[in-house]
Amino acid sequence: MITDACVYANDSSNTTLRRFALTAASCGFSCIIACDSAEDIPEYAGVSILKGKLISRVTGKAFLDAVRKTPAGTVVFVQAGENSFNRTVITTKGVHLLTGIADLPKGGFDHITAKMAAQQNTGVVLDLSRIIDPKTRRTALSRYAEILAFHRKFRFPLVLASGASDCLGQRNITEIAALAALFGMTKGEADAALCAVEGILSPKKTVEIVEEES
Amino acid sequence: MSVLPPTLRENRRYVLFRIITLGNPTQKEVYRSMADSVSALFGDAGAAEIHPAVVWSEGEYAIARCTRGYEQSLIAALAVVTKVCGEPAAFRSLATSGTILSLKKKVIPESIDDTTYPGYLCAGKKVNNLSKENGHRYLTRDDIIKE
Repeated sequence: MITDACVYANDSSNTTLRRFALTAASCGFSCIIACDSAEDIPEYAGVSILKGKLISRVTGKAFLDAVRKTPAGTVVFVQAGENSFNRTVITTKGVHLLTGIADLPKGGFDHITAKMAAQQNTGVVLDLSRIIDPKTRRTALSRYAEILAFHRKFRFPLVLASGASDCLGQRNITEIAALAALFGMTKGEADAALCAVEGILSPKKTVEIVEEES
Repeated sequence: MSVLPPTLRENRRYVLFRIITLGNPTQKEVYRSMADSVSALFGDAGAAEIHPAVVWSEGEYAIARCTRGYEQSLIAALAVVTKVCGEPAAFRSLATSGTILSLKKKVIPESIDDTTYPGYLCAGKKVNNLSKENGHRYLTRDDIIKE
């Protein structure tokens, strides 16, 4: 399932959730995750819409409360902070994705955090809107290149997202692969990153019952 | 300037893209936006290697040219364009080819209708509200029916 991991279809956006889904369908996506969306539409124009919740940088207890209060079936994103906070986030049950990597200070995501992310199957979101914005482009490209190096070594899930707040911010699969190539990601890695959300939400079990005898 | 014989000339590739904006930019304005983003991403040396140009533009479609092997770079540069003539815009790459003719065949003219819903601009399922007072809004036909 090719997924655009994060679009912001909130009240301040000038694009409706349906229009996001329609644009995503024309861009070649089969699923989008709508962060903090007021509307609840499961599917439109052949694109399934998952609900997402973004938890900003908060203190330990408030963060745990926010994760606990999240309804089932919602994809939980947490804004990355300093290294110790990121380690707590990654090991917390119920957190699916760590986002805001481009804003991290140097050393905010180290090899130990990467190893923990791989063990806990927590994804790291690479927000392409940070590359599109010329103000944050340089920092984002260097941070994403570092994260990619960690991903190649520790194999934690990497997720690509448009991070669009309106339909003009959405990009198609070819464009996403071309933007990902700017920080050294290959076409194969980009394809895997676009399909990684499915593996995070329903991870493969060690033993799986394929057929049950009646 | 000397003219290179055909065998020594560089091979070129063409990229068809769609201009999504509320204005109606000219070919020159589209080129300026593209050239700016190519320079911002790859620098002047990179831009000289990519050799970008807009060779055709009609309505909301345009064809850009680049040196063969730099198609990915051109697509990336087109993807980072966010404004044309001060208006919010997006260039959506659709196809890459070695000839302009084959790309022109892929252009699907979309009839825009502004009579079905007064104040709205419809194209297929997409609906744009262009009123300046409330700001631009991007909807679908189903959203209008719901409203």
